Amino acid sequence: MAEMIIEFRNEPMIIGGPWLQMWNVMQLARQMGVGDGEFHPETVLTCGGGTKGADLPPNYREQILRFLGPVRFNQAYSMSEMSFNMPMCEAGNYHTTPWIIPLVLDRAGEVMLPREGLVEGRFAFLDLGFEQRWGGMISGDRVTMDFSETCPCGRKGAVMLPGITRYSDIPGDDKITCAGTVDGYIRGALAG
Amino acid sequence: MSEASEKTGVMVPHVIKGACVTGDALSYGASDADFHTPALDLDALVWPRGEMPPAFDTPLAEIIDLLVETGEAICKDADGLMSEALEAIQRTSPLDAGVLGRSYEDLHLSFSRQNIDAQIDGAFADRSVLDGWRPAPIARESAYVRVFPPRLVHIMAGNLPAVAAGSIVRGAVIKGMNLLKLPSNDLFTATAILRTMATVAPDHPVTRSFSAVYWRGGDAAVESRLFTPLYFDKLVAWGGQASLLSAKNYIGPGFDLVSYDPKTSIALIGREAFGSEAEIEAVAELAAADATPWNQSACVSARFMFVETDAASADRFSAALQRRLGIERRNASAVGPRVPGELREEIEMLRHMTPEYSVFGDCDGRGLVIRSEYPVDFHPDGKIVNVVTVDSLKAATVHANVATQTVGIHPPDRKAELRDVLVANGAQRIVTLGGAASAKVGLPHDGFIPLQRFVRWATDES
Repeated sequence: MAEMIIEFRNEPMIIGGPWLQMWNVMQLARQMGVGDGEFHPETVLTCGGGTKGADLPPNYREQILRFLGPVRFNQAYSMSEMSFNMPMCEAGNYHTTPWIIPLVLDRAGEVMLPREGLVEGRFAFLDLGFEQRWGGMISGDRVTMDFSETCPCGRKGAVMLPGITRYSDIPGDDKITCAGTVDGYIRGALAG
Repeated sequence: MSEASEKTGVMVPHVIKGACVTGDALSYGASDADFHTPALDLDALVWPRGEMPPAFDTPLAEIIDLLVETGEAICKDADGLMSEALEAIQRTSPLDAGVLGRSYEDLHLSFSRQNIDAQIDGAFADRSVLDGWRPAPIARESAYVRVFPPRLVHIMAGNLPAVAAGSIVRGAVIKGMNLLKLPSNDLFTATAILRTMATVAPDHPVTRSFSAVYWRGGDAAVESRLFTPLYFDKLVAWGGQASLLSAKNYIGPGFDLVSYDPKTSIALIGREAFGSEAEIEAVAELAAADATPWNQSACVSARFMFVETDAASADRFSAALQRRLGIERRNASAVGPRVPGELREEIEMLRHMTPEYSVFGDCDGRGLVIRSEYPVDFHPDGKIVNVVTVDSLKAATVHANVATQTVGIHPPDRKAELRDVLVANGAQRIVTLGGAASAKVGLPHDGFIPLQRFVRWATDES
């Protein structure tokens, strides 16, 4: 796939995927001697997500965009379990598509929070775009949804605000108890 | 989020060398708005080595009197400091108002003269060694020994308020300079006690020997500067892997770790318990009392119970135990925390695995018992007990390990045959079933005698 993207760089393409994959495409292209800015200007890039734990330089986005050149770029929130992504608007919010119903649950993922105004919690959704399987999913992301009628960009519908974090990336809550298990005594268990 | 709404979280006061400091310069919590503290002035948190410890010349008897008076003041709570803390702690503690209220009612017990004396006598053969140089008990030699006040950082656990009380009493009687690091599950008890002490004896050397502040555990900007032999002698860490995670980077010569290790507890119940339904019911009550302390968040709380009987009797016992896990007790709620999602899935799976497993109760926080032939591979927590059938209690001793703190045994006369091998496997505390939560003051804790480990021993030899 990476080779194909590089091969067709002179033609308009719609490229979508996480940043890490685009980073790998760029690395491969550079090995093949492809320079910066060689992609067709009508190519559409939709990228999102974090770096999936990979150790990328802080300016990885700038490097990737410089490599592609003046293509049309859209930031989006998505995951492989969703049938379509949530594109970011001019106001910086991620918009839902009509067939994906966003839900916000409590941290434990047990109780659905009211779908009114600003709500912070665990992102879940029901994707009506799937017929072969159940389209519901509870994610590991802590998000803030705005269920107001209209986004500052003028479009209608619920939006997700920027500043998404994974619950697993949130530092420990510093609640200390005297209880524990033998796991903590095994050499290396305290390596983190 | 607007500036105004950011300050709606709980305000956490600090105590710096006996003086209360308030402010909201720093914000913490999941949304950075859960609680606010004053700014941290690290220079104010250390006692320079060149200065004599504040309480160095204060006689131990005077310190004990001050602690006893503090205990009385905690009961009276004339300034409302304890009730204010009790109200605030309910917003950050996983325990409910009933358990917290009763725990606060019992805080004064740590300050009773009887308990303080028991701790000192349990640690020092001659308590006068805390007050000055004493001839060393070695034959035909001229030498003196004394206890020197240590500089201690206490990384406190917050799952029960008594930890704060115990840390303050221990830190005071050894005349230590004590920096108490507040845990986010108890941000208020230590400061309320210290502020109460300051009302009893403002500017007293012991009052000035305590600071209590919050920083996020593991914050290198704070810990890399404070956790050094330049300022402190020992780090007293309670439980939690998180506290040890940050501590391990700083421990070295001159900066020791005194660790109340993260512990788990078990019970061994002999065949004698299963003679009759009445006997099963009675033993189930003892077992429930050992499983539920602080909704099973404490190290003393039994999680695995090994029963010397067959599956049918074990099921009857498990059913009786489950009914009793839902009873409100002095240190436990009728309804504890709900079973977290990942554990719930595992437990629901076990329901389909009869006859190897039987599951009694639901994930609603009222208590749940799983009977099995082998221990489950998860950590039962939040009023969950795994009842495991064994051929003999002797065979069950292999399940004790270095993380095992308390082993409750029934009937008591089986203790003698089991205790040595249990301790050999790593356990530290053998109790009669039903006695897990009533720790006797003055005994070793987690395999050591805290006051002895806290202090610095100095000698003067010819």
